[in-house]
Amino acid sequence: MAGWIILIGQPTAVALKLRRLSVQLTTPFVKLGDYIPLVKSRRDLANQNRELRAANDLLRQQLRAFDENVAENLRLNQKLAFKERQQFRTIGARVIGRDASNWYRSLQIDRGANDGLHPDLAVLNADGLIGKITAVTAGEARVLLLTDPSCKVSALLQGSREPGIVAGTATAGLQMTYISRTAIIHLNEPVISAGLGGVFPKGILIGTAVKGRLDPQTGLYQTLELKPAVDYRRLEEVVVILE
Amino acid sequence: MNLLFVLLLTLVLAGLQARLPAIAGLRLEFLPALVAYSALTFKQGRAILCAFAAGCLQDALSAGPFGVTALAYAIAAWVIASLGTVLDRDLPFVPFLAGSLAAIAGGLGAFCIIGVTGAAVLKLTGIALIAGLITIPVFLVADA
Repeated sequence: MAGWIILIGQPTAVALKLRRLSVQLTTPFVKLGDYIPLVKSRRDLANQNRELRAANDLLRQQLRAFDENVAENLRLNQKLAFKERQQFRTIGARVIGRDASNWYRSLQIDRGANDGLHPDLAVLNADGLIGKITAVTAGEARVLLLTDPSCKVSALLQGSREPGIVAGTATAGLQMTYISRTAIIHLNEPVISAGLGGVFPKGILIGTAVKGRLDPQTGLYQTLELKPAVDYRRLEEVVVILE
Repeated sequence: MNLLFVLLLTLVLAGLQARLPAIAGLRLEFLPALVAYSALTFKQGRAILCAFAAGCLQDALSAGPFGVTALAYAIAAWVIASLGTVLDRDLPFVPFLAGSLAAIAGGLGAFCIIGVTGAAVLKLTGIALIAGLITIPVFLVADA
C-alpha cells in the first residue's frame, strides 16, 4: 500500500498495465449501453427534423459565401506567395462512454492505438474544439474535454486578435483568462484556438464571448466568460486530428 | 452474495456509470454503494480488495490519475470494515452513512488533484447524499 501511495498517479509500467486491464474489462459493459433503447417521442423527432432543415438551409447559404471567400483567399495567397496550408489527416470516432467520475470531464471513444491515436492529439467536431486525447489503449482512447479545468488551450479573440488562455470552470463552463486589460471585447465575438503549444491547430472555434470583467484580485488582465461552441452533453461522434 | 458476484456487479455498474448523463452536474455513482456493501459484508481483506478493484475501474473510466480513487476506496473500506464490528448493518442509516463515507473518500481523493473550492465542497455534499441514498436499496437487493 505504501508503494502504491508513492507511485500513485504516475505512469509506471504497473499502473499502465493495470489501467489497460481495467479498461479492457469494463469497455464491453460500457458498450452494453448501446443496447438500452432510447425511445424518442414523435413530437421530439418532428422538432429535431424542423431544426435540422433550418440548419441545413443556413449552412447552404454559408457554404456559398464560404466558396467565395475561399476563392478570394486563394487569389490573395497566390499574390503574397504564401506556402499552401497543410491539410489535416483525421479519423472519425464514436463516443462510447463518459467520465465515470463526478470530478473530471472526459469521454471514451472507440478508436485507439491500433488506429494511430496517441496522447495529445486534438479532438473536434463540426461545431468546434472538443478537447485532447490523454490516454490510449489498443481499441479505445480517453478525451479530456475543454470544460475540464485541467485542459488549457491558448486562444485568440477572432476580431481583435487579443490572446488569452481558455480553460474549463468548476461549473462545466469555459473562461478565457489573461486578456489584456485594455482589450475591447465585443459580445458574441468568436474565440478561436491560437495554434500555440503544438496540440491544438490554429483557427478552430472554441466559443463566443459572453461577459468580460477585470480580474478582481490583480486588476492586471481581463477574464472572459465564454459560451462553448460545442454542446458537450450531446456528443456522439468526434473527429481526431492525427497530424 | 459471494465475492466473485460482487466483483462482476462492480464491473457492470462501473460500465453503466460511464454511460449515464450527469443531472445538474451530478452523475449517479454506484461504486461507493458497492464499497460500503463489501465493507459491511465481507472480511476486511476481501472488502479492501473489492474496493480497490472498484476504484481501479472508476479510474480507468475517468480522466483522473490512475490509482487515486482506488486508494481512497480502499481506505474507506478499511475504515468501514473496522467500524462494522460495532455497527448493525440492518439499520437503514448504517448503509446510508457507509455509502456516503465511501463517496466522500473518493471526493477527497479527487480534491488532492483538482484542489478544494466552495463549489467542490458543495458538490461533494450532494454526491455523498445521493451515494448514501443509492446504498440503501443496494443493500436490500443484494441481501435478498
